[in-house]
Amino acid sequence: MARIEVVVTGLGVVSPIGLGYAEFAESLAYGVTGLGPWSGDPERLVGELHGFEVNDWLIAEKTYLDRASELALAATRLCCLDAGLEALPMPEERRGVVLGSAYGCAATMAAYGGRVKQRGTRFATPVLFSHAFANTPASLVAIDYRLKGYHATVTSGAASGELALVTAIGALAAGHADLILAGGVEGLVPQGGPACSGDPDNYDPFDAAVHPSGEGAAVLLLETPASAAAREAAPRCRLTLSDSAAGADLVVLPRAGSSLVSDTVPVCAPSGLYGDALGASGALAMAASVAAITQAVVPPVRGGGGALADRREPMAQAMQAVAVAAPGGLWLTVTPA
Amino acid sequence: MRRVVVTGLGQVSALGVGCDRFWRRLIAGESGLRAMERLPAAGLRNALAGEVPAGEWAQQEPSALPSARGFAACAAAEAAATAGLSLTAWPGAVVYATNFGGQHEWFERTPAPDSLSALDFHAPATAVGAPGMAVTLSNACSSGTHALGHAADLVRLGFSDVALVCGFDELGLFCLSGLSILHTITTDTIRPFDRKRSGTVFGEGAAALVVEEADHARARGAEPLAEVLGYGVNNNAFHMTAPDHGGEGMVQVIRRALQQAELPPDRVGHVNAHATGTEYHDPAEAAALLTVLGDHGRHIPVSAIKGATGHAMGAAGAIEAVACVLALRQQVVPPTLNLDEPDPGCALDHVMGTARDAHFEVALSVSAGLGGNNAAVLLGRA
Repeated sequence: MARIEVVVTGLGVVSPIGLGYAEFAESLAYGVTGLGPWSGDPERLVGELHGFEVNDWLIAEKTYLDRASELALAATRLCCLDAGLEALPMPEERRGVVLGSAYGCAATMAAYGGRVKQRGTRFATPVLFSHAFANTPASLVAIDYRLKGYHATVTSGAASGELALVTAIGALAAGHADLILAGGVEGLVPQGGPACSGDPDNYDPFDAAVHPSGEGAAVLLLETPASAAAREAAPRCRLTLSDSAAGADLVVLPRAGSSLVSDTVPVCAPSGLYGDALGASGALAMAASVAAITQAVVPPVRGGGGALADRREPMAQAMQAVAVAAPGGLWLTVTPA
Repeated sequence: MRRVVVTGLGQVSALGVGCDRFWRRLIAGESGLRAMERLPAAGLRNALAGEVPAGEWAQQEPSALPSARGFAACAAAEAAATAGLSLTAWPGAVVYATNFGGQHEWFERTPAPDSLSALDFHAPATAVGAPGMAVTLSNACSSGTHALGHAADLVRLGFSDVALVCGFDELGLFCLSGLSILHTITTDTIRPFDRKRSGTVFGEGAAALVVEEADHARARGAEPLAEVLGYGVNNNAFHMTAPDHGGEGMVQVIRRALQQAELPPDRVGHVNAHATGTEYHDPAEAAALLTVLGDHGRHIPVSAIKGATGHAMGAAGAIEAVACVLALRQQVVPPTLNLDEPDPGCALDHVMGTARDAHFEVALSVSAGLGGNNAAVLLGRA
């Protein structure tokens, strides 16, 4: 099994617990919840973005954007700002984008499809159709940021975010690109998702029968070590893809409800603070892992977190490795730069 | 670096079920395009499409209506069987490719409350029933080619010794209404590279390939059918729907595929073109081929098979890769149907009228899709 190491030189997060990596990391460390009643149905508990204005994060004019595209473009902009890059390194052909999403542009798909179903095929709307593709968010990111190299949209259900990162790391290792903006994105699914209700402060991601839906996006700037060194970029951390989590000081679960609980290694489920953002969850967990290791803080755990179960306060602890599980027995492990 | 070979093939398309039938009909110059039977054409620019033949499908799968789920499962089963492997005990990774996923299923079932699950693009792939790491790629109509290249990378990099590739898509009013309103669909028929081309005709189906590390295949006695030499995937980064007139994105993916394969352009002996028959795409693709291959590109046979299969969207690249593998094995290249008067702006060695014997070691397959996606893969003779 291959062991591949890349570096993370930027992070952009759009989440119910913070806009931008710094806000996200701070909320995570202090256990600030982003769960609350959904604006579309106050009976439902969700992780919804409030106060998010996509206009603040666009670098080009738009006639229309699906929610997922909005989140992807904003996370990309925040990632570039975090990396200190007004312009991405050249050449354009060596930089790419890989985004994961379970439902893609679900709201636009539903709007487009509903119109055609109700009124007939002559009422098809070109702008809605072209914004309803799974790959629309990644294509829009590529267009705005001139990413003319490696390109992929991963649509593998709730594991899309982890698999987008795996795909991007593989592409870097295979020599298809020098740097890739990689992550996951998910808007709140229009027709529902699980009917979760209750008090967000009592929600236990390890024990609840139903988990609140969430929305958000996280984009990481991944580079080959040589690419970062060539432009003298200081990596935030290293990211290794392998088949082992040996040596991890902390395991971060992408989604609640996972059975992956260890009695020897602390396990945290940050989605307990922002909901199950499906295709974005793996990338958000990656951002949480970077936050844990760079801030030297184990985020609070509510419920059955194994070795450090039900610990409601953050814990200062220097860590050498934080791991996120990916399908196929793979692990994405963050280590200090 | 580990070498990657193809050891299994399967396909379902407008030309029928199974690779043998597909190849026989393709080489005979037959077309699977006809007026749609399953879907109403009212309001669409054309009733012509490449539906999987209903009778043949009913014979193959008497209990299941034609669907993306069924096509994917059927093609994957054929590929696994030819590779001598079990799908239910699949020993490696799986890379699916789709443009529209379960959208047709969702469209038919909505607004039923449980219809939402079909909007998960990965949903139809679950019918294949293969365990293990499954990645679904959705790079519009270049997805199938990308999936083959990505699966080969997973094997090359040591993630897996064996990987299944399965591209699938299904015709439905969701996709056809949009492709019609964008005028991607012709009111005539698809005429790749022809002076009178006016758009494409869509199709459906699935194709699957088993890719495997060469020594692993040899050790278990599996016959290598072809070698996956290299691939490239990118984005024009230009516009969601407008074409990249110069074909620069296609130039770059072909160059990247050659670079990964460590081959000079003059080793390419056959091209299976994307060639959708749209006004802008075909000359851009021809220009891209000539830019990379130079004068050599004017003297190698170029086939465009969408006149036989229709443009099967996320499955197209996988179906065309199957055609390349069979062409390499048989040393015969399929004809480009409906190409009567080549556009001078597409000055290539077109395989017109009938199939042609050819002696070549390397085939190039090119794909492109909405959103500015491009992909190219190089396959070598085993």
